[in-house]
Amino acid sequence: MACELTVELVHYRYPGGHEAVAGIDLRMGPGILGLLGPNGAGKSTLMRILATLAKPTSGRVLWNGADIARSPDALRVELGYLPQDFGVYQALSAREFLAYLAAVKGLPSARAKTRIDDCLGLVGLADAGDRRLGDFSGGMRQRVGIAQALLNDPTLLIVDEPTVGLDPEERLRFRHLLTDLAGQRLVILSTHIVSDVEASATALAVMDKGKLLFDGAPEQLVGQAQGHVWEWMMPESHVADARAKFTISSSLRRPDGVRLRVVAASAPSDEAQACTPDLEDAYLWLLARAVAA
Amino acid sequence: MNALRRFRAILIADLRERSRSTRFWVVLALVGIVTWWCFPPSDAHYITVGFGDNVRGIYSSAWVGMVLALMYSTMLSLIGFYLVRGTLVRDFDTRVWQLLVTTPMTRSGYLLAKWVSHMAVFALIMLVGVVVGGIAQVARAEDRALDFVELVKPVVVISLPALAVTAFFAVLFDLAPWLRRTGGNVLYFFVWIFLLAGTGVMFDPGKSEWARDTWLSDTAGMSLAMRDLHAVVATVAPTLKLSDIAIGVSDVAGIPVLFAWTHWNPDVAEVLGRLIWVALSVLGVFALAPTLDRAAARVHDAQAKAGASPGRRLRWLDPLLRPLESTQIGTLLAAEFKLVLRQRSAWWWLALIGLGIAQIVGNRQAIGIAAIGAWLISVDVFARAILRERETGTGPLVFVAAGAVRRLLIARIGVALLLAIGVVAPALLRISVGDPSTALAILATATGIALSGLAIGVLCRNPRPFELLLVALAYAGVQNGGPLAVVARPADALQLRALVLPVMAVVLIALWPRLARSR
Repeated sequence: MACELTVELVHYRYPGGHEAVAGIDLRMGPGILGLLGPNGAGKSTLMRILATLAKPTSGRVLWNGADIARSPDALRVELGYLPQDFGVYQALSAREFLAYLAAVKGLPSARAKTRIDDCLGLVGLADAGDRRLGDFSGGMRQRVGIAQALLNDPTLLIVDEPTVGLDPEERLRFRHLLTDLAGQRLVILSTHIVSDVEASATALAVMDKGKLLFDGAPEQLVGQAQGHVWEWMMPESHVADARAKFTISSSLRRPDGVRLRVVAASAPSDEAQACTPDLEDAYLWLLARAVAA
Repeated sequence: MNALRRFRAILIADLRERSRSTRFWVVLALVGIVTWWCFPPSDAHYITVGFGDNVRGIYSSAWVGMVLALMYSTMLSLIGFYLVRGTLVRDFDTRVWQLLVTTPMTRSGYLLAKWVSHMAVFALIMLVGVVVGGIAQVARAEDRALDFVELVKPVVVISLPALAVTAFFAVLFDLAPWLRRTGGNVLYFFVWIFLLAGTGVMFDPGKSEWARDTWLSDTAGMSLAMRDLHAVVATVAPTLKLSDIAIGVSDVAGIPVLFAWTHWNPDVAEVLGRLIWVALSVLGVFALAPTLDRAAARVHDAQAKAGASPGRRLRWLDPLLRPLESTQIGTLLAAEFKLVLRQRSAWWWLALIGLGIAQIVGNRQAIGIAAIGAWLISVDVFARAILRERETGTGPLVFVAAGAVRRLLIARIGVALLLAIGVVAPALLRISVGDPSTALAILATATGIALSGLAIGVLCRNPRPFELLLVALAYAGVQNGGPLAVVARPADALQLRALVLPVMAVVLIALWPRLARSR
């Protein structure tokens, strides 16, 4: 099963003039691509373009060599998409809603029934399938959203901020589900929660202000931050001052003060000690360098 | 001072939100075009405001102003309601209200700001009308003396109070949960009829001496205009009665009879009489303030009307629709039916049963009225079905599927058609036995309503134009006029449908993919 998505110099400009995507070049194959970026980086707009909901202002996106703007259905039959914001038909049960979407996606009726049961099971809603969506909690609706994206057993799965509204247990289940799904298919996971990506992504892209800042393996990004992450113990009264001066990736309150994790080009103080960066540190280091540049 | 700042902030935000939509500017452009059309040349075959069939004023500033004033106080007080309403509902639906409610803002200040915002939109529309009216006066050149005061005076004295009442109803109908959407859009038409006809009759100077002498006037201000114009009109058409004033398009037989009317001088008491409507509207808005919190809390009720809440389970539907679910398109149709029918209120089912019985046992006239009633109570389905993804936010889930646009269009047309035919099925069956041509006309009309609702929804991307159209046609239909008088005049209905159906089908097929892509 071919699975290659190529983004060639894609720009997207809103009618008001704001350029949300500014010349993205990206090549993706089987595996999980984590797309990271701060709010407003242009991730959701890029997701919408990849999901055929928006056409690029310029540039093109190729799915197995075919331009998706010209022949969107070639991609759509193999696409599962979970948007960041979506509604549901509250009058329908989860099973009825999935049956409706299965029919819209063109799944044969007999196969649809099996897939609906499978997908409800995958997201832990097997027992709630006959309850109406109007009675569902936010997290349960999000799981219905995930289930609908899997209905057609997609080769390309695009999930935009999928873990919003999920409790820690469900978030973990979703991460495992993504890892299980990625085999011969491409999963694009857009999020601003670094731990979601850290847990499952085999490749990483980082966007900011519509531009691609990084494209490669997560280890490469972590490697770039080597020697730029410091642990620094200080009294609580000094924390505000340190926050104003440095990029802090985390802080931990201890009985003898606060331990800060600082991302900086050089040691912020003689007392600070170099430490091994994680993905969150590396991401912040990348963004800090982009701001400085 | 703070209260004034808050009031100003709410007002400005509201106006910015409205004016930053393309629709707003399209409406203003249409107002300009329609205003120009209100002042046809003397050899045209129609007049828009006049007396009897062919008597109108020379296009002086005063007459142009009066034409604008009467058009606005009658027509804009209807259409304007559908244009301006919805700003409170928007705040509730977008949950902006939840941010506002925790501030020190007063409820009366908030509602007054919304009312003033409605009035500001009306004022802008009237300004466009006055400018175009002035240009029309110069262009038609029947009276070249452009007098700005005479041009504006009738618009301010007659239209503004009428529109103040409309703005009040726009606020009121946004507050009551069951009036926030289609129910309110339908009901307002009858409120408008009542205000226009009810207060019109009460203040008709031709009907009583009191009405001739009083300083009070009807909401639309027609009695005020009639009192002043009567003497002038009598000089050119002595046989005409005061009530022969005609607003709207009248065909002119021959050459129009013109009279000169260059000044309008309402006395202070009459102006005060008009201000009473403004004062009543403002007082009404203040009176609504204590209900605001309760109304905003009942978003769930309003969502039920919008199709966004669970509604009833209707278990009996499942076995009925199960045979459909063996195919893709059948599954879609079944889901669409469940969506539509589960969200019907108990009143809808009761009304449908009542109208069904009337179709079975009633005489021919009753059948016609019951059929119109059955279509009217289902107007929200015809007007909103095509906009469902917009209203429920399901577009991103649905339109990424291959062939979804085509499949959904087929399903929507199918459901709208089956519903439009289904609600008049008793009439159809009964009439088809002895009068197949009328049965065919009913079938064609049902098809026309279903397709028109979907097509106009796609075209305007808003359910209100079709809701207004159907309710106006229903009103005419029960009086045996217009295209819905299908049992009374089946041949006319068939001819009209033959023209309308292809147009609506083309609009629907051409514009639906664009609407789907725009989400």
